[in-house]
Amino acid sequence: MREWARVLEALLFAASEPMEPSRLTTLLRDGPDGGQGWPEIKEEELREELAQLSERLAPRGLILREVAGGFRIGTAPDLSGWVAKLKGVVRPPRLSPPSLETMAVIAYRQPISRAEIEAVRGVDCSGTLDTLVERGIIRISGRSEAPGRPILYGTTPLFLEHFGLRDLDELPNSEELRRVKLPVPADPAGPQQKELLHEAVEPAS
Amino acid sequence: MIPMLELRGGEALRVELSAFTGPLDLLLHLIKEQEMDIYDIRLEKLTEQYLSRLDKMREENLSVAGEFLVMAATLVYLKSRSLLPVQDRLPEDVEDEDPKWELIRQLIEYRKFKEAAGQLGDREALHSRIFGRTPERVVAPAALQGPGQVSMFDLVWAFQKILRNVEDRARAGRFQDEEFTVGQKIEFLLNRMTPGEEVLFEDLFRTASSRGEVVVTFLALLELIRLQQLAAWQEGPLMPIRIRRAPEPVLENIPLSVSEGVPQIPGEGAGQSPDLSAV
Repeated sequence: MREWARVLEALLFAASEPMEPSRLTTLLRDGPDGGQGWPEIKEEELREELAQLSERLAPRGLILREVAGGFRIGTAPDLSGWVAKLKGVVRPPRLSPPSLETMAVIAYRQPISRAEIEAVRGVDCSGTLDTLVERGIIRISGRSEAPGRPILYGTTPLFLEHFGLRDLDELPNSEELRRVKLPVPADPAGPQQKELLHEAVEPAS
Repeated sequence: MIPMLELRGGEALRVELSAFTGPLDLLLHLIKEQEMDIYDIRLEKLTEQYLSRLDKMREENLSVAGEFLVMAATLVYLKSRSLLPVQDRLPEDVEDEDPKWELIRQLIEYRKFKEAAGQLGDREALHSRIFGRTPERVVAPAALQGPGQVSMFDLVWAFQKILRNVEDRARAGRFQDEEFTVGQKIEFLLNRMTPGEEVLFEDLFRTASSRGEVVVTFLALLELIRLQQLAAWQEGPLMPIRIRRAPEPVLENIPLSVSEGVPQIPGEGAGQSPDLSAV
């Protein structure tokens, strides 16, 4: 255990967001006001110490996670029942299946427009998009050059944290899903389709 | 992901409607249920199954989302087309590949993302059970913190207290509404306090007799704080807020751009929160 391991532990304990390695080394280097820090801690050393901290925590009630490009201390998942009660959380804030689908399409294919998401899912996605934006898991990341300059959506750092991901490359099966050709959004239903629609809703007796 | 459902009772159907995230989801379910190969779907069977599901939903008076109907139309179209002998097809259709493949491709792609969504859901299930430290309450910008300084929240809170007071007085009918501008109130405040003088926040509103006058006075106060003519401070949290006028130098001309028309929120355009204790 290096001299500064205790400082590292204290910083991670007090932080309310994931701490990037560079931010940790900067804090360790600068030291407290009017005090001395440890100059030039290499990221390699830092990661070693973080791995040891993680091991020390393993049998205890806390865990160290690498999420959203940084490190964060959290409570052990098997203790969620107790902690949820303390925090007054009735039910973990999970996303609905439709929201998860919209989320998946955005995660792999960002930046992406609503029409493109809907072409994949085959349903209207405005409701799920609103929910995800409201939760801060996705954000409007720009506008497309396509006709009408539609709004494009992308993920936020909170997305990575919510799903416990280090970065976007950690998404399962990301190689393939980033490559697959997506269906092209169709034009609004033409007259021909509307006629067929009428036929289809007749009860099939 | 999709629970196995008993399809005879109405209850089960009601569950079913919310169990499918869309027509593609329903189709995948039917393909699996009928033990079909996705690359070799039997359109006739699939269409029949799909339409009967929609009918059941209708019988149960459940509203069927438009997307499910559009898919029904597509299926009926594809089925009827596949029944036509090849020589009877429209010339442009013959050249294209079977449009059935478009649907199959869409289903395959959708299935990939649906599986990915399932995996994300599993990750979420695990990580939603990990709690981290949450940010400590609302933290004012660093510039507003420290002993003796007043945050915007404190100031607004004090203002609301005065406003409530005035409302009570106004209801008693003892005071008449008079029109004031922010410019007039800026002048009033500067006349009220000599350079370097200090007064209680509340005292500045003593003479105000209406809600409108209190609001305009408060806006004038904020404007003067922004212009660094006045500063707000307090000895500690929850202690009385004091307003101090800058000793010297005083601006020759206080820009009174806000004096005309509707009062504006001072400092809003500047895009920065006023440093309430800069003096």
